[in-house]
Amino acid sequence: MAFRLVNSTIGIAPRLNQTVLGLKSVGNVRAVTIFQVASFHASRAAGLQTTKVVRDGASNFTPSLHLYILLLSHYRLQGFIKGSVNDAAVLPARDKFFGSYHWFFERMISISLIPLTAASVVQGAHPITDLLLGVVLPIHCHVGFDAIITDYLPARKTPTLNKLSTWGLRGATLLVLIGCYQFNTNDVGMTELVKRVWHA
Amino acid sequence: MASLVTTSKLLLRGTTLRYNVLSVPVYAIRTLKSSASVEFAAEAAPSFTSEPITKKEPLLKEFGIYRWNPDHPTEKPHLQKYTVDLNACGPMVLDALIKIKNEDDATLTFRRSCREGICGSCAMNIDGINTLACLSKIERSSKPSKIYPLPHMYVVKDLVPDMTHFYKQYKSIEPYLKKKTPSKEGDRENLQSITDRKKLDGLYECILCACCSTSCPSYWWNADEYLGPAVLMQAYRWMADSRDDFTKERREALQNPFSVYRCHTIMNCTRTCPKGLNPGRAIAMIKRDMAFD
Repeated sequence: MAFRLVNSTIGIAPRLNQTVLGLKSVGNVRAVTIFQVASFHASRAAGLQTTKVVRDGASNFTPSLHLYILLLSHYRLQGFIKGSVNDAAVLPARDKFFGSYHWFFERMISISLIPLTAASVVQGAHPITDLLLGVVLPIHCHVGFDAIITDYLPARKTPTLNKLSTWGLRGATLLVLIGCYQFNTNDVGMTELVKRVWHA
Repeated sequence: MASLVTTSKLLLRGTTLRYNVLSVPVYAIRTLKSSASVEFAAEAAPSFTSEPITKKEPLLKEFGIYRWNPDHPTEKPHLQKYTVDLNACGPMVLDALIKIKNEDDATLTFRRSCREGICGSCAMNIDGINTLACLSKIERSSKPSKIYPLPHMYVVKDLVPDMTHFYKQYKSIEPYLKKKTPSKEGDRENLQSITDRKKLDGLYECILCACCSTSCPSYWWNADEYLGPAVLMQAYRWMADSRDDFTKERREALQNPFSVYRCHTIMNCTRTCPKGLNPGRAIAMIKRDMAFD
């Protein structure tokens, strides 16, 4: 244990306006000497140095070429621990648009649905609420489905499926948006449709 | 060592009950010497029955415990059954585990340390709920109880999960005080008002047992990128600290779809926390503050 005490004046608390080892205490505050402790755990504990980890199953490993070919078809060669066990996990790249802006937009869309639905229930069909519902509701659904894709088919695990489903969803949402617009302008409108189905 | 001490204590307690104190052989008295009450009893209140006065009927309970041995990696994990007499066992699940390890099967592997809910070592899934074995009481019925390691974690052996990634994530939020002005020699503590200190209540008590993170479905599916409730609550603990100068930078580091926003307020974290904390609220606070940054 290599404790090295710098400026050590153990037991003597320097008093007001008293100079101890070039350190002058200020005002009413008692200056407290700072002890620096030299670092003494720079390497692995001695007990562990005698053991060598061959393969722990978690970290990356490079097998021989023969084993490589054997394993290639069955396993991903990368372990689930990236880097050494002492490195901090790397956070994904920063992007406010997919971070807080996306979240805020998502919440605003959800909140705006409350007065829109209430207005439609109280007021009945109205071209403006119908038109707004026809835009906000598909976007709300899109954001929800998109969250499902991000959760269950993330790009880093299933890149192809992620791309396929994301573009599929975008196409579907576009079609629904067009359909809602057509239905609201050329037919009875969304509110009236719900009303008729409700009473059917 | 701690477990060994516990057993010897239990055994000693049994000995004092079972035998007439006067007839206890000399070596037994020597081992009991540390207990003052026993010596007192030997002098003042000798028992004249060789049988204990009150004898409890054994209350047998079956524990099904998840077993997997890394020495035989091809063997599937299985649930091994152990029967424990609850009347000869401490009240908590950890007591039962230690009893099984001491008396039935020394190969049973689990982590434990403080046995009072402050170290977070014995986090496991007991009857479907992530909790600390030392804080969860054994249900006193003959209904079998099932014990698994923390769900969706890589298992090292039996009930021991691999916490490496969890700790790496904890490290990534820089869980320490960061100042913009370097402290000078002779500086005192970083002071804080009582109201500011109160903001840390309910956050600093977390012992990082990972019960909440491993109960979160979002963490199950996206643990590699989503930080999980335990780490996020600690991230908020440093954002909420009035002494820290990097509040905004800490939030900015989380601006991506995965670190925070995989939380869908399922609230399993708050429901399961063995310390009664509310990680769900802390994450909501992060989201709120990030939206207004």
